Amino acid sequence: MSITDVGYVAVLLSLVVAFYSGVAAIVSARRGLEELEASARNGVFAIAGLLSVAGFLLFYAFFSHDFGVRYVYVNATRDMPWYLKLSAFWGGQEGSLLFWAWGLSIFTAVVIWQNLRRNREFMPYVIAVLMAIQSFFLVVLGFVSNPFERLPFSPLDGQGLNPLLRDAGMLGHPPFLLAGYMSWSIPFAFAIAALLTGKPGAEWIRAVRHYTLVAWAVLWIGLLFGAWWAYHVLGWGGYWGWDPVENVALMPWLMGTAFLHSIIVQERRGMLKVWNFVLIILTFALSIFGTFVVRSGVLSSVHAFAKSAIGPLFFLFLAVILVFSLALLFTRLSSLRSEQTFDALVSRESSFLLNNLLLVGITFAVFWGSILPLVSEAVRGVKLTVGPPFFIQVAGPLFLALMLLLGICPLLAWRAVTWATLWRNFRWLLLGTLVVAGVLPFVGVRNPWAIVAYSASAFALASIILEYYRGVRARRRFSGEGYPKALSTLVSRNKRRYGGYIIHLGVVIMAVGIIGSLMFQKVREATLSAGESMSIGGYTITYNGNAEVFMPGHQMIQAKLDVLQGEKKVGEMGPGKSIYRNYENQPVSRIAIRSGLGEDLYIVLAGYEGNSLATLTVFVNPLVAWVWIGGVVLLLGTLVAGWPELQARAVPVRRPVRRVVASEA
Amino acid sequence: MVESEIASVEPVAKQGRRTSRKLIVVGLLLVVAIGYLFAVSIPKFMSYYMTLDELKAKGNAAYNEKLRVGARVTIGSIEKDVKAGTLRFIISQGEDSLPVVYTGRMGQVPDIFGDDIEVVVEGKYLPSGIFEAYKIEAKCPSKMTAKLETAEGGGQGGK
Repeated sequence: MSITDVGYVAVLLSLVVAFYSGVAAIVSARRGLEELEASARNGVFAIAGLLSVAGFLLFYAFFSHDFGVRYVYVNATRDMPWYLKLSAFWGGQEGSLLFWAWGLSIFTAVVIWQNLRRNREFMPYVIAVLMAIQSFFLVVLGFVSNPFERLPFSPLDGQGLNPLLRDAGMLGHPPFLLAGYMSWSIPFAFAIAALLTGKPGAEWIRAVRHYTLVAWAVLWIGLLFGAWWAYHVLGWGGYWGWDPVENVALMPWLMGTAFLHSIIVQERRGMLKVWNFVLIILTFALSIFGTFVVRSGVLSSVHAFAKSAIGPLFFLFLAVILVFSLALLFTRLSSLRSEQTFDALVSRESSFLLNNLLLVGITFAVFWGSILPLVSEAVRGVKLTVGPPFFIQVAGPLFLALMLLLGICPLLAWRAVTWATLWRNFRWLLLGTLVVAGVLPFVGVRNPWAIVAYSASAFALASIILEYYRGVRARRRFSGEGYPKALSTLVSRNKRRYGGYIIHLGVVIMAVGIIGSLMFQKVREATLSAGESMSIGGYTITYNGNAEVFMPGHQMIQAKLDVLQGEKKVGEMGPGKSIYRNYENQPVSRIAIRSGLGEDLYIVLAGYEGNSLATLTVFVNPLVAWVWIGGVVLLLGTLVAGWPELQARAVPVRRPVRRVVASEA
Repeated sequence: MVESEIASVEPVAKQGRRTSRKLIVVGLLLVVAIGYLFAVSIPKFMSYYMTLDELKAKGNAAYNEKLRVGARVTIGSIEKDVKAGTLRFIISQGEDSLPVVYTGRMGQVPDIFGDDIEVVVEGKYLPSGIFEAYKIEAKCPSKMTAKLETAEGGGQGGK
């Protein structure tokens, strides 16, 4: 018996404990047996321990070069650097699933720990739901997709990670994406617990808000890393290709965004209760869908995952989740009456509702676009597919509407708006927006869609600034503080609101980058002999022949380029192709990127012959840097919005409608 | 949460119903708008996916439609001229084969493209019997699927 077998035993033991804890938690709640619930809790902690053992043993297998483990043999080689060995853990299906289960076990333990004294009624059911999810993954790990499976012999070296994955970006992208999917389990579990206990009021919403923000932020980091990786590694000049793999990761995030907004309405006005349950159920279902769909082989993707036996199992799991949760919700409908109705068509809450419809609309558009081949084959017997232009045309106008709403929403009061106050705020924004729209054509933006999109962004930006300004002004009048102090008190006293505006600011900044790189990308391809030049977008690129570079485990052919901007030499660039041992017929492009706040120069070595002929594909991508900057600002905003409220216990219930909003408006 | 500010419940409830109705109309309009976007965009941007034998079975009917065809690159058929920037190859499936001329950018050919690789070519089937492709997608070769069956979010890129 080898040490890694202990990992397998730990997985199997976890399954037994998960089953026990789930059943014990339910029995304890039904019979009121506190000691049994404590035992179920201990089970949860035990699983976190057991799966940590399993996880560390898999890391150990990678770092001790235990190629007798099939998973290690397939994904690692001796000479891979440490960070690739680390990322090889989730380089394959078995390891990814183990990561999911391990992460869930730790999250579950943390949640149980934080709620030892809070949300007492919910907790047994939360445990039961999480253990059911955990059990599913453990069954798959134990019996279908075992990362600790041993080969009949121990090879001296492994095959190694696919060349495309040999990038430091793989350290971040897969774990955050998987953790993002996984962490939606927590709000979902609370939702089901709320339905089961017959207390589907505001308590569960309060209980899950922070967990939801965590899940949302983690999934966001996964998406951002993914876009970053695609841009820096894949070499097609962009960061988002509307490929099914990307789409399935975006969907739970969009749906979760809708949820984050609509729970505010429930907290404030006691409305949209059923809607919130539906949103969180669908968000979780989409997370499970995202975890497995690309592995099931039902959607063909350029991310060519091989078909895998776990597809049908996951479909079954997904069906169980949906049928069970929606049926449960249906039986509880009578207790989910709204406490309020909409007072006016134009109000804060109706703008939230519209925001929700748009986000869900985009999600559905992306969903149907992605599964169109399946649907059309079932209905008409032909496989129809749609590419990026489809998604841009459908989602583009909806995102535009969302951007306008993002600007309008803060101007609206809860319940009802008087047109006079609305106009008072609105006119300045409108004026500002029109000025921007008027100036844009003179700075080179002549595409009408770009003008509309940038004007909408300017409108949203102005509205965020106005909100901050009004908040600071009111604060100063009230306390006489200086501007910096007033700003910091304002934000720290209303983290949710002003953190939310920072998130919005991140969205606007990203939009600026996305619109720029989508609509104003320049691209040229040319085949050059040594000494020849090409020019694009003010750059002159001179080709000086190819060089060969040898590195451990791979070699690289590199085109040597001198880059001039106007007359001034701005640097040397060296796009290349790497060829890895074991993967000789799969060269990987090494893209050369010169990034700036204004634009990126992005060069791919598309082909070469001998050492004095090369085909170069050159992109000039405007404003891409702002996509990353906006993404990080969004994250910082989430951090502010989710920062623990120290005096939270002193303020037991939020006032339904804050006066500030109405009086300021 | 109790709304203490509401003085008289009756008229508010009535007004609420009216507002809800208006909101439903707005929601429906939005659904219609999304449906419309969908309905016009699908025919505009869709392409039919078929395997090579399905294409051959369709014959003349397949000419000049926007198609995506899946097959395997015939070993030894790739004629690539770096200097001229041209790429021609033959894809085949069983008995059927089809010559392909690539018209897109060389930088967009997947790195993995090569002999015996499973590809999906997107473009038009011309009456001359040649397939004019502006896009090539490649699937990883079977000998590597063991490794790629994985690759969360990673996998075969190269659009």
